[in-house]
Amino acid sequence: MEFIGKKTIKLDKIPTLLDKFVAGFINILQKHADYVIVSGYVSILFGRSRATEDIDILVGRISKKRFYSLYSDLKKSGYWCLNMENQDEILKALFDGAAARFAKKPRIIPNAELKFIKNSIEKNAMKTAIDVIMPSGKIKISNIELQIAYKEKVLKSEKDLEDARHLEEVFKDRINNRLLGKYRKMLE
Amino acid sequence: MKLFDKARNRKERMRFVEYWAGYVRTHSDRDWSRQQKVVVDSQLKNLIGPNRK
Repeated sequence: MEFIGKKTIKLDKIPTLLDKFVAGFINILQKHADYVIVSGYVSILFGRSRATEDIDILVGRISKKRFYSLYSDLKKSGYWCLNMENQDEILKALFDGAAARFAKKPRIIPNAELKFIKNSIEKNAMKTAIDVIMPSGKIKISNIELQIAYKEKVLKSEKDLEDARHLEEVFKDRINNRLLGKYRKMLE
Repeated sequence: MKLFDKARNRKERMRFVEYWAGYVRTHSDRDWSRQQKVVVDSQLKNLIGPNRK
């Protein structure tokens, strides 16, 4: 792991099937919208020894035209939406705060769970995102301090607490403790 | 002695999480990711099911 400034990490990992799925999906998504990957996959990306069924991705709100173009690109590349039928239904659901799940046909797992950004914490995750450069491509993830605090204070399941502990230990020498404390207080 | 001690099990799991995270921090990406790939890929294949391609 190589840290290039405060907002970029170079990771020379051997990609898992999950990493390959994420790289393929992000390669399309990033052409059409701003995004940030949050939650479980962030811990898995940095070595946590578990898989996940879904990758949580927050997306900046986009126009109908841009969404149609994203949807068309996803379809052409073999992705399908598991929980909705057509692009209008998906877009309406996203604007209503629901999630749309996309997988590679004919599979259901793994899938990318897309949600439009809806609150200040999510806006903050997007604004303070970190670039992770891998041999398979570049992806944007939420900053580590926010991920740790969110898992500890909001999600709180055993799995989430383990994810948080994993990140805290891996980034032990790099964590901004003042920022982590601020997020912990904010999410209490 | 309890047959299954949940609190103890949780503590031991957390201790392993910390041990493995320490390994990730102190070893090369190629080293830890080779080991992680075995776990993640096999779990994912189990989730996907027997008809996977």
